[in-house]
Amino acid sequence: MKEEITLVQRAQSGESEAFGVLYDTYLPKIYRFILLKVTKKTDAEDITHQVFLSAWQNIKSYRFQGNPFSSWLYKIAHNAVIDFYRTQKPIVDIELVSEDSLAHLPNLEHELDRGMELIKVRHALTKLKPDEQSILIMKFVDELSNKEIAEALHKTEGAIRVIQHRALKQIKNILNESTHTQTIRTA
Amino acid sequence: MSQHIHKQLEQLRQISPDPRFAARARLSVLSQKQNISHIEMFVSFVQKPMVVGSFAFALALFVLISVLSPTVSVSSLKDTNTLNQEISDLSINIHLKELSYQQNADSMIMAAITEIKDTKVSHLNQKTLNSESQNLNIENNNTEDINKLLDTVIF
Repeated sequence: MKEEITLVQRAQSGESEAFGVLYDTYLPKIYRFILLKVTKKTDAEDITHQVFLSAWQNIKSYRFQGNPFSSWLYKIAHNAVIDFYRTQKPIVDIELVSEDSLAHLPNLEHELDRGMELIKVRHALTKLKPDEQSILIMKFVDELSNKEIAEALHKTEGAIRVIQHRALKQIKNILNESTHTQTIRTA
Repeated sequence: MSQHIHKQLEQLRQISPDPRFAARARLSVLSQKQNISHIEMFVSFVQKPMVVGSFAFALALFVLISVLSPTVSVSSLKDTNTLNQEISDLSINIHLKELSYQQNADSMIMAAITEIKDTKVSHLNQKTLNSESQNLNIENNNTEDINKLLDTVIF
């Protein structure tokens, strides 16, 4: 954490190398978060680029408040995704999502079953409400603490726990339903 | 089932950005300039030698003008009580002058009206006017004598 604070301070004083280290550290997580929210690779890349550009240009306004720098990046990413859906069509083409998902999961071509399972999870994620999606991704994919998630989403930790519980219940139902439908089709 | 879902979600960690995109975006982001806040803009503006010099010159000019013009006393301007007193005195003086003028005008008008109404006043009496006009001898012989006399004086 101390090292990160130093990097942030160096970046705030205009040192691009220091921001480069922060970029390398957080790019995979932020990109993954965005891709799971917008589902299309090209959109995810555009938004990720915007997020890091905005972070670099406005890093002087960042104030350390006890949370990792990633909380601030997630906040920017969350707002960027909201803006994206505000200007784009809100309906997601599930078929495109599935193909896209397969294409960007490395080493999964020969692990078809596992790949199919992941597609199902991603499919289920897209059916959740935006906040539920964000919380599940941040919590179980990116391993953020409830405090960090609360900071990024402007919510209390209590609210995060409630939404997380609700989201898990919801995704379980969706996955059960999908398995049930698949079983009927196979039979 | 929950554990299974957790594991499935954890598997999504395998998603990673295209290395070519990562390198391209890194280069693009770091080549951009950082935004400067309003405070920083103000500070950098104020720190310019030209601006500092201008402020110093303006201050010196102000001090010089203040010292060279002792008639304009800031402290006297601040004495609002004195100013109020002066203004009220001025207003009373103006009112008194107006009052005396009005009184004079009233008495003169009254006198004129009385005179007009009064037919016994000698210079307006009709009989007096008639008698004066009868006594008036315009074709007086003396006038020729006077004309002659005037001609001798002029030529």
